[in-house]
Amino acid sequence: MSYLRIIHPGTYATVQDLGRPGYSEQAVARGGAADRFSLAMGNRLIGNPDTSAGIEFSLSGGRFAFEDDTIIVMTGVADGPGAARPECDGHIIPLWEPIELRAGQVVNIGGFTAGASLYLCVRGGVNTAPVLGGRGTHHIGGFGGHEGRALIAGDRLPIGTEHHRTPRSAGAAWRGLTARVLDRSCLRIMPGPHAPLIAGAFDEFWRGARLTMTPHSDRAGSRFNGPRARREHEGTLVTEGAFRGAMQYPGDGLWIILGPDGPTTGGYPIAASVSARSVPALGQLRPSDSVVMLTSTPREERQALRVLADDIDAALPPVDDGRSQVW
Amino acid sequence: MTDPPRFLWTSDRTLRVELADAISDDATTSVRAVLYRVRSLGITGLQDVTPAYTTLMLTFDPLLVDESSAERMVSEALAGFAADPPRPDRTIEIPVCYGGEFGPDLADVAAIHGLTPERVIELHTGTSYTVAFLGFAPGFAYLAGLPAELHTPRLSAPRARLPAGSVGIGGGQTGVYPRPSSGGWRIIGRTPLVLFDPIRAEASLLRIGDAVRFKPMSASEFAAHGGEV
Repeated sequence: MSYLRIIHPGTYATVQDLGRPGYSEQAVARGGAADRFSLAMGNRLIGNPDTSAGIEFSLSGGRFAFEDDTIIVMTGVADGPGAARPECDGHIIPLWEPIELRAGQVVNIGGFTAGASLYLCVRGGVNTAPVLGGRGTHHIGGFGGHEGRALIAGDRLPIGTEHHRTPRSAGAAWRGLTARVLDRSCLRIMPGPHAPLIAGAFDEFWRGARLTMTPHSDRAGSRFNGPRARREHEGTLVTEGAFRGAMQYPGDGLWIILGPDGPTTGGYPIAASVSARSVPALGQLRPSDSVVMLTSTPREERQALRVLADDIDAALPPVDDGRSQVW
Repeated sequence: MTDPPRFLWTSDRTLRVELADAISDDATTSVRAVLYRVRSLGITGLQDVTPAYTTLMLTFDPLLVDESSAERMVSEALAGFAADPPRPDRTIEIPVCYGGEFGPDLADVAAIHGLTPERVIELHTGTSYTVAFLGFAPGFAYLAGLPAELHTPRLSAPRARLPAGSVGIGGGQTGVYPRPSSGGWRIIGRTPLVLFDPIRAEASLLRIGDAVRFKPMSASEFAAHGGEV
């Protein structure tokens, strides 16, 4: 078996895949990559199924090497100032382009300030043992991934052998598509279960409104400063289901958008919900990023997502026929 | 139960089904009955169901969900469920070492209510609780049935770190922390049982609908049970 060696994890690195849906009844959130799009498409580029596990580097990159020759790709926010520029032996490795790496060659991702989540996908996938149907790290629960924790220097991770196709380049159109999906200037939102308690007229409340991310953010949830809203409903609400992208309003202009490892239920009012097609961009927001809210409806968002998903699958088809659950 | 149930698409992938206006035993039973039925229907694109006190949240793959057929199937699941209200099919006994270092707030809880610590233990162990649902964090059960005499306000400042297995009271709720965490509930004891073990065949010790009873145990029994003192 081949191994990935973590030389330095950067700020925070974890094994992630597309998550483990189906365990909400046991209060286990789906988890998985903060930006499932970038992880799944990285896998497609090197011939893996969408569901293969990779490494999520949060806020900054690390250094790593493999013990055998292998093929990798790194994905995430590729354009603009501050985008990650990983290097190996003095050469820049462009994001979204598969490369062959020889045994022992060290890749240094380094710092980046554009985007928050950078993915390393390797041919065959990171092959840590699946727990509850997923290989992703559930850090709060202390399970999944590598020993249920964030990666540290010296960790050795097994690499699998499952792949279905030779690596490919995504083609010229791809750059535009990723920029479209990972556009961090705006998030599409729609009314959440408690919108009327908070926002009154939803579209009016959010017109031109911005949220600015604070450093008090992690994979459970991100805190934002944003518009002050009234809370007509003082006191506690009855605890009910919460979800990735739910925008909770505890009060005083503070907004919490739940992340992949967030609680499955909660008692704060959920004023709005981030659309599925905006969730990858949400997973790429970092502290001090400021983002405009654009209002929409569930129906409009599903239609737009279908168009987007068709464009993506046409440009870069999945390697197997299985449903990918990227969204 | 509201009649008919209220459907609300709370995002492009989540359907909220509201069955009642307020928390009650009936609402809990309805939620459970609907959960059991919804699970078996094979609704297209359904990924997850999140039951709570008065609602269920259905999470879908937004590319596969068919709004109207999903609503229709849930409506059918609701129709006539009263014919076989689900009963708890098992009772889980949770041994608890009360007071001392295991339950640093037992004396305060007793003092707040003008009871002896022994009486608090008697009341806490003398009741059968029902798992209304699991939520918040893996394996955490919302238990219904805390006697009114034990309803106690939370601590004004949460503790930074509670050991796994801590048994607490927060307002009208009681429960067990599955993992070490911070928390504002008043801690009256600790159990050596592992509430959530992802490697186990069924990760969570408690399941929605279970009856739960707490049983006092001594510190030496706690240690013999493999609990960390």
